[in-house]
Amino acid sequence: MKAEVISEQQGISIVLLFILGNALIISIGAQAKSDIWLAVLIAIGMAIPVLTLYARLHYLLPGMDLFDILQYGFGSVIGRITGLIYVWFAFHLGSRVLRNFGEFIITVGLEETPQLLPISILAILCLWCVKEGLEVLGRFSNFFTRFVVIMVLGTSLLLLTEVDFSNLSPFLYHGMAPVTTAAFKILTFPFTETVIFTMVFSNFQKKSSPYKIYLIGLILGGLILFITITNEVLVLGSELYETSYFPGYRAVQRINIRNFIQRLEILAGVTFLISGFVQLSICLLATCKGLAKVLNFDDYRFIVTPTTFLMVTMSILIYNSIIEMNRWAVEIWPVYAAPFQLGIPVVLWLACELKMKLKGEYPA
Amino acid sequence: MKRYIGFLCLLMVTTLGCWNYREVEELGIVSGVGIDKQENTSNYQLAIEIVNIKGGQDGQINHHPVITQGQSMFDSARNTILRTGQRAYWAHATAAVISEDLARDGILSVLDWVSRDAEVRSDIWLFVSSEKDAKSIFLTEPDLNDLVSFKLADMVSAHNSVPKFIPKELWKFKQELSAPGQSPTLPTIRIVENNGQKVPEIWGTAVFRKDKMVGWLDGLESFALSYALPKNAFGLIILPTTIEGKSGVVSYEVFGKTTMHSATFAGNRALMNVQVDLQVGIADLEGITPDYRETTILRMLEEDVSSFIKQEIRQVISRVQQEFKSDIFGFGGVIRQQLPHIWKDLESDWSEEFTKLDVRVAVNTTIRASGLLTAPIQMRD
Repeated sequence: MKAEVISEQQGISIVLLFILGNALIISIGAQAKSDIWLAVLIAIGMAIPVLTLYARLHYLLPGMDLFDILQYGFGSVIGRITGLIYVWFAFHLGSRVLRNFGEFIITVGLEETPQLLPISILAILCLWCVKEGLEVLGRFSNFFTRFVVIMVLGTSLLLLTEVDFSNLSPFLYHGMAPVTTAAFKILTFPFTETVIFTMVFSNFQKKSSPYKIYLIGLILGGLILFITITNEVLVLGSELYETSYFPGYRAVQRINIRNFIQRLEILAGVTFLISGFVQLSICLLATCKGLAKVLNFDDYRFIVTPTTFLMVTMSILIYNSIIEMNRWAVEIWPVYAAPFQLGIPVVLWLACELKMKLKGEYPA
Repeated sequence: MKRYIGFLCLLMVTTLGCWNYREVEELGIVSGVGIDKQENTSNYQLAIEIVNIKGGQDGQINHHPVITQGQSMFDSARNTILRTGQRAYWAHATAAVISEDLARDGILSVLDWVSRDAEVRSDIWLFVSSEKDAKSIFLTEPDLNDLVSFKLADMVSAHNSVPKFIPKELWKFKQELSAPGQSPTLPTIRIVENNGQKVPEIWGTAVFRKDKMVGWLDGLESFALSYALPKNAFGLIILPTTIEGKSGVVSYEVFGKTTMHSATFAGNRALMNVQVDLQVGIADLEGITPDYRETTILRMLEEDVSSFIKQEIRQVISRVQQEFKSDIFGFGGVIRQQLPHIWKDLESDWSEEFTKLDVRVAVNTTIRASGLLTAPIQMRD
């Protein structure tokens, strides 16, 4: 397999877009009510050590991705089994992203179109992209990040006329508990979903690159998310934010500058499309790479096509309705994802540190 | 092979939209809707005003509403197909008028579909009809405009200069409905005679408790209400004045208005402060000629305005407190924000507590201008 190297800037762009992905459009952390901005900040704070840990894994074992590291840390058999579980995780996450995308399209726009259609089109594009490899995705992200940032910040600026600061008070009316719960949920979706990157990245330009990529990507992505979510709550109020499937879309709907600049919903759609595309490609890439590693194939490219179509099917089968989808994202996902995103990585890190110390293999 | 796949993808991308594609002439573009309960049934009756563009250079628009019935809002909306052959397209709807009966029964059943459906935008203006039904509003003459809904939208966009009603968008109404310590209001429409034509006039306010309408405020009370609320309101203040033994009427034009709500503690109870700052100009002197170059007279006039507005605001507040028991001022929300520990005790029984709430109103007026004239017009023999 050819070693794919991406530059720091590309890496940061991918991480940034990945974090924004679904989180831009779906309501997250709504139980914190008017203190949601605090929950996002706390989540960023909690994510920093976790992402440092992911970066540390890359730093310790350069040239390896998560599946190699698992085998190194846990031994060949257990490593492969956990690897398979991670493949499932990436696969499932990819299906969820696809389904969210499909539900968004058919809810706000094309009600009569079967969901399969928009989903397949996005999936086929991702298939193409993943076949071309990580470098292409890196260049794509690098180019489109500026669009996403401009659009997100631009719509936030245009929404200033609709902002009502009383939506953020009273501060901590329900106490700290709902804020911490919300912060944990925001941590698992989207921030530490970046565990997927440990399966995708293996080669960096410099030894310190992983730290830079993860942390700068997290902080930039987190800040943009912070701005958007705070803005959405400022505009919609926490009650509407909570009862909307797509608060981002609803907030942008409200832009109306003198009847001249209005109906900009499509911007929210495009932003979502770009970041969702990156998120999906990364999930797909991780699934395929993982399958290839665990099953000892030389190259992952030949399983991309079947995996993609499997993912499309999965995304249709995974939920019966948008109601179920929302419940999953809000209630089940944090619990389900915590072992993948926090539990196993910590154990793995400890195992690797220990093993390296015993073998005396510490990198200089 | 690769080329074929590429071509297929291209085909999929470019033809995707056609699935939901509808020709413009198949759509009935809705501009507004009047919502009634059908008599003797539980059905809805909608009067849907559809933009029906007739060809030709001038493109005449007719404004006769389509009347449809159905068991639910959505059913009635879809039943337009049975009457017109067009499927109603709601994204451009600007006004929804709801009949008083429906509003008294609870408006939520109407609003659910309107806010759930992706096609209806949340910036549609809501009204309550003070006539016997909502349909009749759309049967009036829109004279200057082509459509009644557009006329209503025009009135709303200019309402700041005549704050005798408080316009409400769907999202704002829902926000007030779900916000703690706040009850919603809607503007009401009546039909008046103008040159022998029946025309709609927006006048007054419908007061809601939860989603049920409990009463009216007329235009003048709505005027006081807009001064009591922290929102933009300009308009005129017309004041009978007596100065130096002569009495007449002075009109003031309001250039600037800020209203601040704040909650304070007074002897273990919450006390609401409504602080209104007015910047006005003397716009019209009729019957009297006070020499406003004199500081004392100027102060007197200012004092007049302040006490008048203060009295009007107090009146509307006490009427709402006693008669409607519905916190349309959002005082509860202010207490929740500024004194959260007190709100926790009041929250469960707010509509009762609201009637007992002490409200202190303070008005401060500055006369800033007097039009083009430095002094009253002089009369000499």
